Amino acid sequence: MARRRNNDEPRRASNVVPVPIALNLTPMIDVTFQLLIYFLLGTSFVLGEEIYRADLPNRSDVRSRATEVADEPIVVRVRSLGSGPDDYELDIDGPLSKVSSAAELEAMLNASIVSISNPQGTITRANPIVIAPTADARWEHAIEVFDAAVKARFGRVAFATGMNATVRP
Amino acid sequence: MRASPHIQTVRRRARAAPPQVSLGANLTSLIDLSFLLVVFFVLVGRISSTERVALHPPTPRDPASELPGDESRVVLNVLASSASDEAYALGSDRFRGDTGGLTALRTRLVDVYLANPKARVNLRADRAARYDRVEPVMRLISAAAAEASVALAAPIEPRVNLVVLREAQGGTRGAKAKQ
Repeated sequence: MARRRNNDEPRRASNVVPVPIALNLTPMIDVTFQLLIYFLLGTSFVLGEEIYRADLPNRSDVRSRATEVADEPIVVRVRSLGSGPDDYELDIDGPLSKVSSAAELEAMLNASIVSISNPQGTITRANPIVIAPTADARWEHAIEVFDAAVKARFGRVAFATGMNATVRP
Repeated sequence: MRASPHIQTVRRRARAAPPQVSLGANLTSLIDLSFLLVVFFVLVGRISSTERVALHPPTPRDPASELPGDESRVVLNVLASSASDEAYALGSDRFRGDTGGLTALRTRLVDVYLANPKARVNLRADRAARYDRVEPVMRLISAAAAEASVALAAPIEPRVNLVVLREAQGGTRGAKAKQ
């Protein structure tokens, strides 16, 4: 005999039709990837940029600096002849050999350093080097010469600005 | 012979439909990662465009330069433009190459040093910039540091980083130089 259902009993679950509640994420993922691709292509990273550390002197102690520099600086003059990377000429004051490129300057500086094995050398790495480009010299040519002096491991390399800068290799 | 009630229950369950297994991929992690990347590119893109303007730094052969550190710095761009145009860019500010522009740049540099006495200045000059465009900036940095040190009654060392571009292996140095 079938049992009669009481009105107070809850209905069976099988009578309720389940309604799927789901968030359609596909458009959001599409938009997100569109944005990702846009920024990947649109962002320009500055890759490959490096620095030379150069400490300029404080103007407040120029007097003491002026008395500090007792060595005769090696003045390298740079003049641009064109827009190419090698279109420049160098001129060195003093008895050092004449050079025509930054690579030759580095070799000449290294060969001129006085040491036990090279007693004929005339300079030390403590000698200040002043790079004096002409007013219209291209910055890339000035930096090329600066780099040659740093690679020769000179610790006091300056641009001719009316005051000495010190590079820390 | 009639099976026991337990056996009957097992047979009934075996005839019923198999339990549903959800095969949907969990995309939450993917979406999280994608949004993180989007936020990263949005922020980095804005910082880069503010600090650095489009110019071509020098590319020495096999340079003795080093990678920049984590110290706080400001980027001072020196453009290869004529004297009447914008010659310098510091952050989002642009300065002309005449006396008024240099005075404004010096004031801005003093503010930088007053806000952060240990700031380094990344001097980012175009390879085609004339030296008489770069040289005043070096003097300005020294002068601004001296002025800020007087205001703060503390010594400030004007530290400069000269920015170059390390040429990629097999790069096109000659071609870039023509730009």
